[in-house]
Amino acid sequence: MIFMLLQISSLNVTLSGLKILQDVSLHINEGELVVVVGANGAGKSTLLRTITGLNPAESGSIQYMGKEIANQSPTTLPATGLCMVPEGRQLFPEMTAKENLLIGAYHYRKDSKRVANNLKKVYEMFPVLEKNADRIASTFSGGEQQMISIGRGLMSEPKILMIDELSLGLAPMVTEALFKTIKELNRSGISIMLIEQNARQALKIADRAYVMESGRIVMEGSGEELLNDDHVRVAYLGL
Amino acid sequence: MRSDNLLRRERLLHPLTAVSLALVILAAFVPIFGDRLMMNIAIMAMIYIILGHSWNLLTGLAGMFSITHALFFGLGVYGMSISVAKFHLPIIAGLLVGLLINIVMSAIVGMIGSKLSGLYFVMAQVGLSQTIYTLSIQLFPLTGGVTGLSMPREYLMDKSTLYWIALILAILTTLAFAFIRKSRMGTMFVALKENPDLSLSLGSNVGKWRIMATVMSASMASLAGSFYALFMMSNNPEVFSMVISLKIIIVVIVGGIGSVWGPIVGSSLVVMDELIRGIMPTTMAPFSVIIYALVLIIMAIRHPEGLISIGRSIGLKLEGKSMKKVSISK
Amino acid sequence: MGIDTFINIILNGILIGGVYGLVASAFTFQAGALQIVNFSYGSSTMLAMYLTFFLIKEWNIPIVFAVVILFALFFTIGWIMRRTILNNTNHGTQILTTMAVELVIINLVIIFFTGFPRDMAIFEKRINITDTISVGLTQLICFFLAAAVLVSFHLFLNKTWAGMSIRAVVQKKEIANIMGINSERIMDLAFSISYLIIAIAGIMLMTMFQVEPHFGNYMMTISFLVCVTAGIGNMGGSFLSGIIIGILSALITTLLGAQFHDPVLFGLFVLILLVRPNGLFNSSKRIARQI
Ligand SMILES: Nc1ncnc2c1ncn2[C@@H]1O[C@H](COP(=O)(O)OP(=O)(O)OP(=O)(O)O)[C@@H](O)[C@H]1O
Ligand SMILES: [Mg+2]
Repeated sequence: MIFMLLQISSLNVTLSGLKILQDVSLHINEGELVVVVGANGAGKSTLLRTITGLNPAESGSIQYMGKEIANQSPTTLPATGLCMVPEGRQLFPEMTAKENLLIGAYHYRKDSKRVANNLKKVYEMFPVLEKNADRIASTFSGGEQQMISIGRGLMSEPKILMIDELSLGLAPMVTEALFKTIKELNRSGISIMLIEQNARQALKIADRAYVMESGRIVMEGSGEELLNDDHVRVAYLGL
Repeated sequence: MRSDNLLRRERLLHPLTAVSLALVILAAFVPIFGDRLMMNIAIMAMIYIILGHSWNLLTGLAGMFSITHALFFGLGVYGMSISVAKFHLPIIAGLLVGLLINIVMSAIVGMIGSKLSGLYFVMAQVGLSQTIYTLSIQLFPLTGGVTGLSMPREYLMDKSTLYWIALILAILTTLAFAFIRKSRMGTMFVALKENPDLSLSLGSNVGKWRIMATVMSASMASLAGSFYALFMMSNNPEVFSMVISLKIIIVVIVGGIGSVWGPIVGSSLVVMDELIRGIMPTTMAPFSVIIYALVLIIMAIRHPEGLISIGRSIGLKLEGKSMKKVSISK
Repeated sequence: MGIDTFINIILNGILIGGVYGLVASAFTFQAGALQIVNFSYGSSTMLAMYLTFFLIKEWNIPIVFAVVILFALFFTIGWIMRRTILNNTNHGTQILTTMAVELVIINLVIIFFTGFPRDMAIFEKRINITDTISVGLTQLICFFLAAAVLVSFHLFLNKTWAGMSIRAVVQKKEIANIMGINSERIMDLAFSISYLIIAIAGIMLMTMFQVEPHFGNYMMTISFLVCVTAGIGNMGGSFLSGIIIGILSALITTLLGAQFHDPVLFGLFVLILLVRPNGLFNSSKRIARQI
């Protein structure tokens, strides 16, 4: 039986009087890698911010593991296994790489063994971070910063990792490597919701995908289906 | 949400407004029925109306957060008392000396204000004001130190004369403020407050306008100060004190920042305060200050938006002109 | 003036300056890191001094208990202030309300303790370095204690979870939130801790100065001077610039006379603000790196 981890139905979000999300419904099954593509300003980040409670939901429901989490305080989420890797990395700029990672473990900070264990795992995944553990985060390159940001998210032991704009401002090589990492993470059992401008690559690794336009979900299908869809090809793949 | 707060604010002020208008009207008739005490109270209220307009001009209109406004007031006091008590100059000369000192000081403050913003401007004012305060104590031969100077008896005026002078000064400054607010200059002040970058596109010099606003505001405060010297017949360093600065600010905030009626409505607070102090023994004076302070604190707790909108229009941010955001780190 | 006298003055300035640095560090932490501008800062220090005096001298409470009481009280004061009047981000409101708090503190002190100046009248034991050069023992202890407090605070911020979460909240509040950190609680905690530093500074100041209700104004301007010299937000730097100001202050007093001390120092403060608002030794870029 497929277990629905996150289910969003008829979500509406209004910010400063502007309707940003309209009647958005989507879901993520356990173990899935779901991609959301959409143009700039479509409302993708707003969707993630609303799930994490940083933006208020106006109406609709956000169910996570059968529990309503709409408008919950963001601070309660990491302990439940819901974690966001925000757009633009958003590292703590004046903290070291290691400290940034550790903050991800804040909700179980008392369990120092668990913290050390997870830190080791992240270091194994991104060895460059271990070598530069004591460097200030803002001095890292864009790709490395994205690794720290993903690492920080992983430190919180997520069931779902929601990644906003993985490849933003990164070189193709770096992007490719990160996509590979994401796919591996997904294989290791973490469900992933990936928001991407780079539709082609994202759809290639996606189990399922949604297309978002002006605050609405306009299309849904498997990665392959969307890759071959005419509208998607014209609008997002530049063909 | 904004309008909701505005409504709440008005509702709070409503009974206060009524009471205060009644008090102000009463004050106008004081010489007819009032005794010396009443007249003293009315005069104090007038002084705070003048000071209120002065602060309102600088902060409410021009958006420069004047936090040590008593500095200008105090310089007016010292200008008058030193001229008269030390050098036996006529009153008009004392007035001019006060104005002159204030123009110099306000040019300095205005210059600082056009160079620094936010917290830095506020800190600079505190520094300046502390410097002048300590000088007023240290330069004993000139200022009379902690006890101050007392003015010769021939300058003593009778209470009702003083009252009429105060009333005329208050009316004149009210008119002046109303005029400035409506004038091109006032529009410019507000425009620059709302959008400091505007000046660049208009090709005018922000610094020039800011200095001008400061000089005009200080001149008003100087008048109040010089008059206060004649009223008290002495000076002392406490005229520079934070209590006076804060009273000025509270008077305007309670009455409504930026508005012509603000200081007039707010001066009712001074009347109440003086009335209460008239009844209580002098040892209770600290309580009166505490009450002022509590008024401000309670206003801040109950109406953060109210006070916040002031802060917003002041554009008060820690990030000064040349200041990057500071964060803690290794 | 002999060279020995000169050295004595400098030494004295250094020791007092270290305490100035500690006093200023809490302000620089509040304003620079927490973005909370607290103008009741000076009078809070003054209150700590008065309470130290009364707890120990008048009420004869053993020093250890006195310190514990003071800490508990100041932690609570910080907490209450942050929860009631400083839970906004508007510097205008913060400045006005804390100025009001300053007046409340000063006048409460006058009501309860009277305006009479107080002095611990500690018999100053001096340590002779040579026959003519010596330093005061209490001053020496205070200097090292001040340094120790700052180092501990630095370690607290960098080596503990609480300290790290304070820095996280200060740097990126929303992200700290989604990582499970309750930023409001953390800010309360941070502000309360800064009040502990004020309490410690007050105790130290009480061993060196005579206190009267307006002493806070003086201490506040000194703190401003120290902070601005180092650049607001720069805690380590504030200890160093505290020492510089201490030396300067001692020199002004001996060379120009005590009556010029305050005007010259405060005038200097305004000058530094105008010329180098980000601190004498700092480029605005570097300052964000330091604590
Ligand atoms: N707090 C806010 N108040 C008003 N409008 C907002 C707010 N936050 C976002 N918006 C608007 O909502 C729309 C969607 O923004 P969002 O950041 O979610 O888009 P996005 O799909 O993530 O775009 P991008 O690909 O550029 O990141 C934009 O038009 C944006 O201007
Ligand atoms: Mg986005």
